[in-house]
Amino acid sequence: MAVIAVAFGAYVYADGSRYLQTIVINSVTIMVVAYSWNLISGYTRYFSFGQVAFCGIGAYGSAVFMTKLHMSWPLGLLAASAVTALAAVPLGWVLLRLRGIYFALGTVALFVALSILATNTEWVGAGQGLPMPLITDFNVILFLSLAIGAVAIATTFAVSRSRLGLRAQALGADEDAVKVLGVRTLNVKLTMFVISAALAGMAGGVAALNAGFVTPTTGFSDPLNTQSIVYTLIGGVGTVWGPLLGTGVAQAIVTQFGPSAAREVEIALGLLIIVIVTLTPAGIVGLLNRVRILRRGVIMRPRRTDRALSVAPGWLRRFAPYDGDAILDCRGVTVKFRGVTAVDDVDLRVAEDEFVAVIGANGAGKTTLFNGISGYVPRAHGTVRLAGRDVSRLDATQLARAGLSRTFQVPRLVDSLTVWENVLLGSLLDSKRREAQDRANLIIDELGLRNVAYATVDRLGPGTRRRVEIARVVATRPRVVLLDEALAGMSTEEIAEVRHAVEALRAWGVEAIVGVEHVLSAVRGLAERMIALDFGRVVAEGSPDDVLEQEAVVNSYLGGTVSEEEEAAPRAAVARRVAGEHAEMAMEVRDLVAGYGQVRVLWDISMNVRSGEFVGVLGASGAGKTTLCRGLTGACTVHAGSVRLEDVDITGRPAHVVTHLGVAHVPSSRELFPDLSVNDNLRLGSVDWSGATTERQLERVLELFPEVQPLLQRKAGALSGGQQQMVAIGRALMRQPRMLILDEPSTGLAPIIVRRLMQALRSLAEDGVAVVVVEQNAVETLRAVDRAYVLQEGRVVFSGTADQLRDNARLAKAYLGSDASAASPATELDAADSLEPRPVAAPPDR
Amino acid sequence: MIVVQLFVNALLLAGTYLLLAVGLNLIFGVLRVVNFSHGGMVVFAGLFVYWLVLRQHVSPVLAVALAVVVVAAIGFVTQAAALARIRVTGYDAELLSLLATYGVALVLVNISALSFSADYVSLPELQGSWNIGSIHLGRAAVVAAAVGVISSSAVLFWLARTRSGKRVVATAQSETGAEVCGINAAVTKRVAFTLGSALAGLAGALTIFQSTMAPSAGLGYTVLAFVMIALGGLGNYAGAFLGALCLALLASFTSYYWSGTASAIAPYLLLLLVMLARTRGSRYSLV
Amino acid sequence: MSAYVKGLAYLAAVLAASAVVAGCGAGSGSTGSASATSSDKGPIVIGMSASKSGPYSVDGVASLEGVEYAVHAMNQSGGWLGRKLELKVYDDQSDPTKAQQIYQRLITQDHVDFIIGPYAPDLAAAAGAVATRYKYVMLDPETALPIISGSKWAIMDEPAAKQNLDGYPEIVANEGYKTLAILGVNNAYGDECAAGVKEEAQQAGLKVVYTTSYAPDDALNSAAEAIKARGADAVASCSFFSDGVALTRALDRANYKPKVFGLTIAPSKPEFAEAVGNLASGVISNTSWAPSLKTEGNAEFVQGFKAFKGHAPDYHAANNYQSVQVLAAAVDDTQSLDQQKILDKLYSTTYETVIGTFKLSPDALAVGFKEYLYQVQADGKEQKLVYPDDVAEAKVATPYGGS
Repeated sequence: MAVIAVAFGAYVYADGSRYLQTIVINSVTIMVVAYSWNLISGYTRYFSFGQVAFCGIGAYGSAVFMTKLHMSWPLGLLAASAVTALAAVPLGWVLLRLRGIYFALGTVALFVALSILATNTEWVGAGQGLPMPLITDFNVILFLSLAIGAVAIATTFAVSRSRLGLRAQALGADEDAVKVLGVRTLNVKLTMFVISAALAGMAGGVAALNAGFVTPTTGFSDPLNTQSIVYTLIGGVGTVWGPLLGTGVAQAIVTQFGPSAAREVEIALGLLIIVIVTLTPAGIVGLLNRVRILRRGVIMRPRRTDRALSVAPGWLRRFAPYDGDAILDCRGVTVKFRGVTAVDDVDLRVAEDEFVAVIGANGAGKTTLFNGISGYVPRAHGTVRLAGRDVSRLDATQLARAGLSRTFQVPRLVDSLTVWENVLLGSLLDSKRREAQDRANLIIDELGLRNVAYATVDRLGPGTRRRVEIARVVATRPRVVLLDEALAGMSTEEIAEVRHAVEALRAWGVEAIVGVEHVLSAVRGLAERMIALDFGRVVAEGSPDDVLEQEAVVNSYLGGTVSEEEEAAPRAAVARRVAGEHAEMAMEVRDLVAGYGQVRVLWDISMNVRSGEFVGVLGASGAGKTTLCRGLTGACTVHAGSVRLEDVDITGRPAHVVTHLGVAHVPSSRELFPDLSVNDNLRLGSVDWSGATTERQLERVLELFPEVQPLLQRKAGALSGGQQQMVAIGRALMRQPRMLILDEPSTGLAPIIVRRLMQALRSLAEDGVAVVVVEQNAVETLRAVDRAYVLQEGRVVFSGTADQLRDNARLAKAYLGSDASAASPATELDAADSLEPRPVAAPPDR
Repeated sequence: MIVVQLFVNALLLAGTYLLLAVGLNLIFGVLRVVNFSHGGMVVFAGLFVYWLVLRQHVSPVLAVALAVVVVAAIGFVTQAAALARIRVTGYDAELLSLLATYGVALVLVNISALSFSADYVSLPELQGSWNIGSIHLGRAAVVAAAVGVISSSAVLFWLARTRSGKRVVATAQSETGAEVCGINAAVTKRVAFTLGSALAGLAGALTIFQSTMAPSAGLGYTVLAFVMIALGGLGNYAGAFLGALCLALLASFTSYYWSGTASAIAPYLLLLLVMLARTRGSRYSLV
Repeated sequence: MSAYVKGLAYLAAVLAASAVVAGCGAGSGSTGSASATSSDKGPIVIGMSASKSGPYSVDGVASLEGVEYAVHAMNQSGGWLGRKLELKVYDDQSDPTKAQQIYQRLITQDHVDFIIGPYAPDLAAAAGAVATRYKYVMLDPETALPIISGSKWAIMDEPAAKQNLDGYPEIVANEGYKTLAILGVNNAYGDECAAGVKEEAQQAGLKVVYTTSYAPDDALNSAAEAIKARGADAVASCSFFSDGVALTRALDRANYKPKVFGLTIAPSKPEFAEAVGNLASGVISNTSWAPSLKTEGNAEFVQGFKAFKGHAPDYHAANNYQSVQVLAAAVDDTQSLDQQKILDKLYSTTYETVIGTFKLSPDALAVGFKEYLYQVQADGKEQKLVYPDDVAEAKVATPYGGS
C-alpha cells in the first residue's frame, strides 16, 4: 500500500501541473472524510449524515490554535485533531444511544446546529470566519494532503484487521446479539466514533490550511458531506478500499466538468445514489469481489497450526468452581408486556454440572423466561443470582462477562463474517490475541467446523449455524449457558452433531446448562432435570421421564382432552350458513421446495385438499409448518414445484392475489391491526366493507363467535389471545373463502377453547369449505380432521386418515421422542387461562 | 397584547407545519422510512410555484395545484423506482432507504436551483394583512393555515373514517395482516408515499407566499418535519398536531424574545433533546 | 497473501487509470491556454468567478455586467498595450469553496493574466487566499470587509461596511425623530454595518430601542412585532436582498410603518419593487455610486453601459467597472503585465474612477471612496440621492409610507 501511495504521490508531484495537484488535494480531503464516514457508518453501521461537523471542529480548532494562540501549523493541526477527538467523546456518548434514523438525524442536527453556532459566534469571526496562516509553498500542502490520505487508509486498514474492527462489524450487524459475547458495545461504538472524528477533524484542518481561512460554509461544508457519503457508496461501504476507489473514480469524472457544473454533478450524484442503492449496494469493491479481486482478508487469521492449548477436562474454565448449591438461582421471575404476564413467578435453580431442560408448547413463555433471565427484556419481579452473586441488575454484556451467556432460537450470527471471526469474537473476551486465537482454533476443530472455518456464515446450513453459535458462546468461557431451542428444525444428523457439541461443553468446564427445547427426544438423553412451562407458569418439574409422564405436560403438548358433551350442534348450524355457497374447488401441491431467500425450509412437499375436507398438518416446532402455510399463500420464496387452485397456478403469486382467489390465511401471529377496532378489523377482511353481503356475513361471523359481539368497538390490541384468534378467523371468513388455512390456531389457548375452535372449523368444512389446520396440538386436531399430513424436518413423513394416525407410534415419536403412546387420561384444564390477554404479535427477539 | 399577536402568528404558521408533519408521518407510518427528501420536495414545490407565477404568469391557484401534482408524481416515481426496488431487508434496508431518499433530495434541490431560483425568493401575491381589533393576520399566512388545516384534517379523516384510508392504516399496523385481507401492500405503500409527497408539495407551495425560500433550505425543512413528528411520537397523528404547534410557538416566541438566530437553532437543539428523552423505552424506537 | 498482492496490483491499476483520466482533463486544458500567455499577440485574459446563481445571484450578475462592459469598452478603444482583452468567467453559485476552486483553476490551469475578485466577503476571503498564494493582484469591488489580514494582494475595493449607512442616523435626527431599531443579517457584513449605524446613532443623539441579528431565511415576523412593540421611529436594517424584502413585508403585515425606513442593498434592485410593490416608496438606501455623480468618466460610463446592456447600470456594475479601470490605468502606467509591478503601483498612486478616488491604505483597503444615501421616491419609480448635501438631488421625504 505504501508503495502505491508513494508512487501516486510522486506521479502527482512530478507531473507538476498545479491544477492536477489542486484536484488531488481537494479529492484527498473528500476521501479522508469518506474514510471517516466509512468507519462509523460502513463498519459500525451508524449512518451519520453530519460527519462534516467534525471537519468543522477540526478547521475551527486549527484556526483558533494557529491564529489566536499562535501555534506553529503542524502543532496546531495535531492539537485540532486531538480536540476533535475529545469533542467526539461526549457527543458520541450521547448520540450513539440512538440508532437508525434517530442517529442519522441526530448527526444532521449536530452539524447544522454547530454551523449556525459558528455563524453567530463573534469569537470565531461569525459569518466571516477566521483566517489561517497562509502556507505559500504549495508543495507543503500537497505532501500534507497525501500524508493525511495515507493516514486515513492506514488507520482503516489497521482497524479493519483489529479486534476493534471485528467487534464494530459484528455490532453493526446485530448489536444485541454481540452483547452476549461480552462485547461492551458502547465502548466499541465510541472508539470508532472518536477515531472517525479525529480523521474528519484532520481533514477539516488541512482543508482550512489549504484555503487559508475557515468560514461556517467552508468548515461545515454541505457539498463535502454529500460527496463523502456518495463516494463511499460508489466505492463500497464498509470496505478498506471503497472510499479510495469511489473518490478516485468519481472525482476523475466530476472534475472533467469543471467547478461551474456543480449543480448538474450533484443531480448526477443523487441519481447515482439511487442506482447504486437499488442495483449494487456493495459498490465497486462489491463488483470486484465477485471476480475475486480486493476481497477482504480474514481478521486475525492464525498463521500457525501448532498451539499451546489442548483439550483437557475443564480447559475452558474461567472461574474457580462454585461450591454453593445452585450456581444459577432465579427466583420469582415475572415478565410482562404491556400489562400481559408472559412469565409468571418462575423459580429456576440449577446446580453445578446440571443440564436442565425447560419444555412447553408454543407460547408457554420459554424464550421469554430466557430473555427475562439474560437481561433482554426487563423483569417485573424476580432476582437472578449467579454463583452466589446477585446479577439482577446486570445487562447482557455484564452478564456475559460474569459468566452467563446464551444462544438464540434463530442463531444470530454475523452473516458477513467467517466462522473463524464469529468464534474469535467470543474468544477475545478478556483474552490476549494469541490465547484467543488458540482457543478459537481448538474449539473450531473440536466442534467439527474446521472445513468451513473461513467460509462466511451466510453460506452455512441451519445445523452448522447452530454449532457456530454454540462455539461462539463457548469461546467466551461461560460458567452457565442458556441454550434456546438448540435442536429445533434440524435433521437427525444435525441433531446428533449439536448434541455432541452440547455434551462437549459440559466436559470442557461449563458448569451448568439450561436448554429450552421442543425436540424432546434429543433432550431426553441430555437433561438431568426438566421443567415444564404452560401459560408462563411451571406446571411440572423433575426427572425427564417423570415430567413427560405428567398429564399436564402431555396436555400442553398434544392438546388436552375435554368432556365430550360440548355444544357443538348449534355452532355447526351457524357455520353452515357462514360458509355460503360456492363452487367446488381443490388445491394441489406438487413437489414444493420453499423457504426464505436462499434458505430452503420445505422439501418436495406434495399434498392435496378438496372442498369440504378438513385436513390437518401436524409437526413439531421447526418442522416447517409455518413455512408451508406461507408457501401455500404466496408469502415466502418458492424454489421449485407448484401450487394449483383448480386450474389456476398460484405458485409464487403475491399473498393478496391468493386471498382474492378465495384462499384465506390465518397466520399464527394472527396479524390483527392492534390500533383499529374489532369491527374495523372484521370489515377490512370483507370485499366491500359494508355491502349487503358483508353485513350478512358479519352477522353470521358474530353468530359463530358470539363472544366477539360485545367486543366490536374495542381495539384489537386490547383483546386476550383467545379473543384475538376468533377475530382473526372471523376476519378470514368475511370474504366467504373457498379455502381456509390456519397456522397454529391453538397457540396460547386453553384446551376447551381449542376444542370449540376445532368444532367450528369442522362445521365449516362440512359446508364445503376446504379447511387446512397446521397444528402442533395433535390430539385435538386428529379428533376433528378427516385426514392429516405429518411434517418432519421440512418433509412429509406420513399421511393418512385421522384414525390411521391417531394411534400411530411414529407421530408420538416425532413429538416426544419416545415410543410410548401419547394416550393419556382425560382431564379438564381451567378454561379461564385462555382469557388472559396476550400480546398480538410475539414480542420481538431484538 | 403582543403575546396574543405572537400566539396568533404561531397558530397561522402551525397550519403549514402541520402539512409537513402529517406528510412525513404518513410515509413513515406505512413504509417505516423517514423521507429524507421531504424538505427537497418542499423547496421544489415552493420554487416551482414561484417560477410559474412570476416567470410564466400562471395564476397562483393553478400554480399551487400544478406543484402539488408534480411533487406527488415525483413521490410516486421515487417509491416505485427506488424504494420498492431495494432488495435487502431489515436494518440495512432502512439505511439504504435513507440514502435513496437523500439522493432524491439532492436531485430535487439542484433541479430547483438550476431551473427555478437559486436565491431566497418569495411571491408578491397575498401581501398585507387583515385586522381584528389590534390583532393583525397576514393574508398569505391565513390562506396557508386554512388550506393546511383543511387538507391535513381531510387526510386524517380519510385515514380514520373511510374504507380506503383504513386499508392504509391497516397496512401500517401489519403488512402481513393486510395481505391476508386481500390488500395489496405494495400499492398501499405507493399511495402513502405519493400522498405524503403531495402534502410536502402543498406545504412548500403555501410557504413561498409567506416567507422567502431557497433550495439550500431543503435539509432544514426535513429536520423541522422530523422534529415535529418525533415530538409527537413517530406514526402518531395527534402527536403530529401537537408537534407542529409546539414548533410554531417556539419559532414565533424565541425570535421575538431572543433573536432570529436563536429561533433558527432552536429546532435542532429541540431535536437532540427529544431524541435523548426518547432513547429509552420508546415504542417506536428503531433500536 | 497472494490474493492480497493481487488486490494491490489491481488497486494500482485503477489508481493509475483515474490519475491518467484526471491528468488528461487537467493537461488538455493547460496546453490550450498556456499559449495565451506566451504569445504577446494574443488577448490579455481577465479571469473572474461570478455568483450567477445561489443566494448572491441578483447582485452577482450585476457585478459581472460591470466587468463585461469594461472589457467591451476597453476593447473598443484598443485594449491594453495594444492587445485585446478577453474575459473568462465561471459560476461559483455563491459558494466559497467553489470560488476558491475557480480561482485555483483560473490561475493554475487557465493561466489568466489578471483576476477580479468575487461577490461578497466570504467568497472574497476564499479567492484572496489563492491570489495571495500565487501572488496575483486581486481587486475585489464587492467586499466591504478586509479580506486577508497581512496580505497585500487581496484588496478591498469599495467603501467599508461600517460606512454603509453613514449619514442615516443624522437624517433621522434632522427629521426630528428620537428612536431607532437596528437589524443586521447574521454575518460579518451585517455585524459591521450595524455597528457603524449604532456608533453614529449615539453621536446623533438617537435612542437605540431594539437590535437583533437574524438568519437569512427568517420571515422576520417576530422581529417586526418587536419593532412595533417598541414603537421605533426609524428602522435601519443591514440586509442583503431577500431578507430586505422579508423585513419590508413583515413590517407591512404587522401594520407598522416606521417614520424613516433605511435598508441596505435590496432597494437598488428592480426586483425589490417587483417583490414589495409600493412598499418600496420612501425607503432610504445606500450606494457607492449614482449616475448623477460628477466623477471621472461617469457620464460616458452610464451612456455606454446602457447602449451595451440595454439597461442602466447599478452601483455593483459601477464598482466592478472601476476595478477594471484601475487595473487598466496601472497596466498603462507600468507598461507591464507583471503582478508585482502592478501591485507596487497600486499602493503608490491614486486614480480617479467612476465611483470616486481609488486610494489604498497599507492594509489593502480602499479608503478613498464614499458612501451615498438615496431615497426611493415618486411612488417607487425614482431613486434620488439625498445625502450628503453636496450631491443631493432631492430632499428627504418623511414619514415613510405616509403618502
